[in-house]
Amino acid sequence: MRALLLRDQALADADAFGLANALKAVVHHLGGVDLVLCGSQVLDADLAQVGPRLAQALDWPFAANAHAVQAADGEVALITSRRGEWRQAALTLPAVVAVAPDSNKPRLPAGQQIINVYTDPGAVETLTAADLGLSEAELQPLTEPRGQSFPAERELGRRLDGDIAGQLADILRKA
Amino acid sequence: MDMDALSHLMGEDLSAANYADIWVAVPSAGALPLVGEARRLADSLGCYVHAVVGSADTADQAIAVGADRVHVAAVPGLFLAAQTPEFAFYPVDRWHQAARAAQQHKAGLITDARSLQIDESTRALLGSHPVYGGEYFVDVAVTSPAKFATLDPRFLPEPYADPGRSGEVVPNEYVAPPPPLQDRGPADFAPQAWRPLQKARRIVAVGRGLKDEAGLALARQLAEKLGAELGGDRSAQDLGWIGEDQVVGVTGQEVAPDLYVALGIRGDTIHNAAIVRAKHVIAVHANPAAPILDVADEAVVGEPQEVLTQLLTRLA
Repeated sequence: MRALLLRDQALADADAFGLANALKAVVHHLGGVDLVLCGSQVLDADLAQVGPRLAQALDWPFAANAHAVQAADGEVALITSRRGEWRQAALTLPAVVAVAPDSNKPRLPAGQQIINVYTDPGAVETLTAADLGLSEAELQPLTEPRGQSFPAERELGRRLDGDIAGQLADILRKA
Repeated sequence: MDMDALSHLMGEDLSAANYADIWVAVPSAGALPLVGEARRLADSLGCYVHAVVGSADTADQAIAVGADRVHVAAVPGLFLAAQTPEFAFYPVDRWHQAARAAQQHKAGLITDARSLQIDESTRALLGSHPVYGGEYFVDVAVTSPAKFATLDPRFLPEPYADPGRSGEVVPNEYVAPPPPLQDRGPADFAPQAWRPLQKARRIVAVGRGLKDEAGLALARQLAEKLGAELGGDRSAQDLGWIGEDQVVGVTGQEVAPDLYVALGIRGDTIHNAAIVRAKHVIAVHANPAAPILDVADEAVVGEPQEVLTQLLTRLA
């Protein structure tokens, strides 16, 4: 088990393009990687780009929305949905697989293990962009955030008063 | 070494000069609104619209809604990736093809883009993408030589079809590589968290504001009376009232029922963003400042247990 932290100011502005290049460099740094697992998408940006972009950067195959992932004998077998139907499928390794949000329930680590990690200064290896030989061009953002916009305010509904139960009953009978 | 010099050395020219026109992947007729959107943008820029269609049957329709050139390819997304588009649009369900192609072309990509515009002087692609399922939007500009976006046809207008429009079907000899994902047949499988709420027409949702098991029992009675599924927010799951598969929220299930009755749910962002597609929302909460009351069509400030008790007698 190894944990690796890539931390660098040069990554602060990187978008999914730069992130995929950085992860590719990590994969090469580790060496001998057969399978990269990633999530499907993050909640706050919802871009779902990093997995397939990483696969492209590595020139590896990619599968999304994977359940029951099993890697053996040079391939990764998984279950995924295709046009509303569950299918068994496989990719030849090495590969990038995005797992479905509900595909697995993470097991909590034992308390002693958590304490061991905290007391071991070498438990997490920290790397910078320079350690990985990442160039400026590889991390250059290709998108610029220009602000935020908000959907039209939802019209405020009615606040009921008076005979509330009676009004609600009428509304529910019609709904 | 800068990127242009590098790409020149590698025998590929990624500079802006080679990238031209708007290209659209149209795997099925359902993606034709993307061609209409491309036409609108191309008219202001003065460039061509290329549609890559998955079947020759769609070629005429693609021309009618705005394509100047049509290419027929078994996997439109892959064919498009082998071209040099200045702008490339994919339907959202081909997001992985779009992301791979964008990385290949060192291009920025707007996922699920809305309100697309092109800055005519810088030729940047401007658009916004939804965050938390549409709670708000982040506006971005794509500045790379090639610019990609995925679009959801449901949010685009029905394209204007002119059967008299002229366009050209350009033959090609492109052969798509075999798909890397090997299909091994159907799987006897249901995901661990079955999601009955996503298709529910009516949902009665419970939250901490119902106070106790007695309140929960009243909510169950109402659900039964209305023929509704029982759901709730994260607080209800913490109390053991509902299972993981019944949690409504961006981190649980996003729902779109005809009727959503929120009982004792305060309504934080994670919850309210997951019910934006509900057609009719009724909320009962004791706290007049609860955010749920502002997103409900009918809001009741009151103790949910009391309101429910009275309501159930009226409905009896």
